[in-house]
Amino acid sequence: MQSLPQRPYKHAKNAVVSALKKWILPMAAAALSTGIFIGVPRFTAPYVIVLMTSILMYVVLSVSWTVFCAPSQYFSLGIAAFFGVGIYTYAILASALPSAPLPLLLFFAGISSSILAFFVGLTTLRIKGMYFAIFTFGLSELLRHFVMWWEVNMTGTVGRWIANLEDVIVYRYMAILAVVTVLIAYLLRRSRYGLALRSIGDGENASEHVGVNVSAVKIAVFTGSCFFTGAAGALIATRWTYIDADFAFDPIRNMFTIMMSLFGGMDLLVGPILGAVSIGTISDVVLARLPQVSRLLLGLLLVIVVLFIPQGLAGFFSSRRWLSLRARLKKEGSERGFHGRGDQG
Amino acid sequence: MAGSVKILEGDHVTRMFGGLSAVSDVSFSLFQGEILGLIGPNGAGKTTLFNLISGATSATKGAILFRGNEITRMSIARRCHLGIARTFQTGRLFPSMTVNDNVLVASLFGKGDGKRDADARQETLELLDFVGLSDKADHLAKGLTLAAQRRLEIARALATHPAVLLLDEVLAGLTPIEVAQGVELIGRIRARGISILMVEHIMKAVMGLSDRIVVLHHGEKIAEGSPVEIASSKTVQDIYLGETL
Repeated sequence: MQSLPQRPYKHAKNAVVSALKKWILPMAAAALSTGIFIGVPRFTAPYVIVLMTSILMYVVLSVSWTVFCAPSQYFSLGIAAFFGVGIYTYAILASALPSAPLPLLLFFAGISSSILAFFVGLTTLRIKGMYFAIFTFGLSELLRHFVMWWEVNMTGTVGRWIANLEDVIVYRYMAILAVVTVLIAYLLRRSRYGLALRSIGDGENASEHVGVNVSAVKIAVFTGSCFFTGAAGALIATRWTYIDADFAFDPIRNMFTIMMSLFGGMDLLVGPILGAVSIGTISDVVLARLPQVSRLLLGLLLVIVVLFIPQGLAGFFSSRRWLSLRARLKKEGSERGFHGRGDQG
Repeated sequence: MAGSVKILEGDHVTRMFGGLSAVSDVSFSLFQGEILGLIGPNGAGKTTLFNLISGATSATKGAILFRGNEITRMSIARRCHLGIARTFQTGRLFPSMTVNDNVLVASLFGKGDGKRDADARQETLELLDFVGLSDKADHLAKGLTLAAQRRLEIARALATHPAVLLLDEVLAGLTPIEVAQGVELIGRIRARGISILMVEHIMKAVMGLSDRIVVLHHGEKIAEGSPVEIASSKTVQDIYLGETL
């Protein structure tokens, strides 16, 4: 009885706190990190900016891949396809409309990847597991050869020129794109659609039986996630000056992206980010010093991850195994320290 | 207790698999508020009939009606939104999700879709309490005991706000104490006004709970009636030769 008058106040307070947690904190974190990223070029060498741009691109690719593929258990090998479609859309639009603003061109590059993803989803997300992976991989290769054939036979060229943009501009846009990708992935994971996607991965039939419109959720998230893949392709292409089909649809990007997600860990949002940063840095440093060894080393790394830490770095460091190992090491460490002092005394 | 309003009907339903009919020309009615038992030997077509009702398979011939409207060709999710929920004979929980999230997803996407997140969370807590799993809310579904998994399947089905609940052998494999607890739980579900169609092999449970019983054999309905009538039926006794009903 006496607690009754307090309830409305408590509700209002709860509402404010939950709104703060739900929306304002992530937005503020996103704004802050964007600010930091944009400010960085003032203090660093040009080389670092170029490296960071590649890493941020891989953050976009691996986060947007993981956000759909990890919970739903539909493994897409079509990253190269959506990436390449973004590149070609940009190349065509930028030469047709030289005065169009960059964000608009990036937006349309992303949209065309999304449109492709929508039709891929409509036709193939009904096929399970391995078949979806093989189909999307086939799509990458099909597009690569089709674009090559088209350019040679229809446009009479092999590749296309792309107007170069300044490194710092590319970097800043890539930073914004990466922050937006991570923010949206975060919001999705936490939303009811993120939960629905996980239930689909755990059991599609059961998911339908609790009322989830399985096809709609899969197609919507897949379509949305491919937007970022396409936009990232378009943006990075402005650094290359010249593109052709082999380069735009290079299947090695499938490998790299998936490896980063695996290495970082696919269960947590931080996983693919961690993977992109670590493998991006390692491969760049090794590639510069020992070009022959770099892919060998990356292959070795992948084997080690799959065999020994299948849950990835993020998964491993939050696992019970690691926590107990750390506790044991600490304990042993302190015991050894104690003995050490004893010996000295 | 059972009303006279038909909530679910099968009208001469047939399901063929190749040349074999798993369910053959079966008609049945489930009345508002009643528990209808579905019994029969293994392979009698009980689970196929459940699949036909929930939409997991579609009827070759005949019709399924819900509140008098035909739903024979409707998708699984649409039927769920109308108010048909089920559990599975072979557990189909979301194994890598927590107990809480298993129910939450059903509450968010079941009938009454478009619910606020906070309401769904509240409802999830209430349902976990209702089936007695509150203390396991943060556990992963795959780590539960068989009895707890069955309870979770029931909670998840209830979270979709069903008018009709299909229970597929929820008591099979449980200890006598767990069976008694399950029977008590099913009674409480009926008290919520939910009509129940249950497949069950444990005769004591199904005889005690059901208002009426339908017997399937080789995909055909061979008997229908009150538990007493079924228990004394000569045809049914022949099928369950040696078992006391």
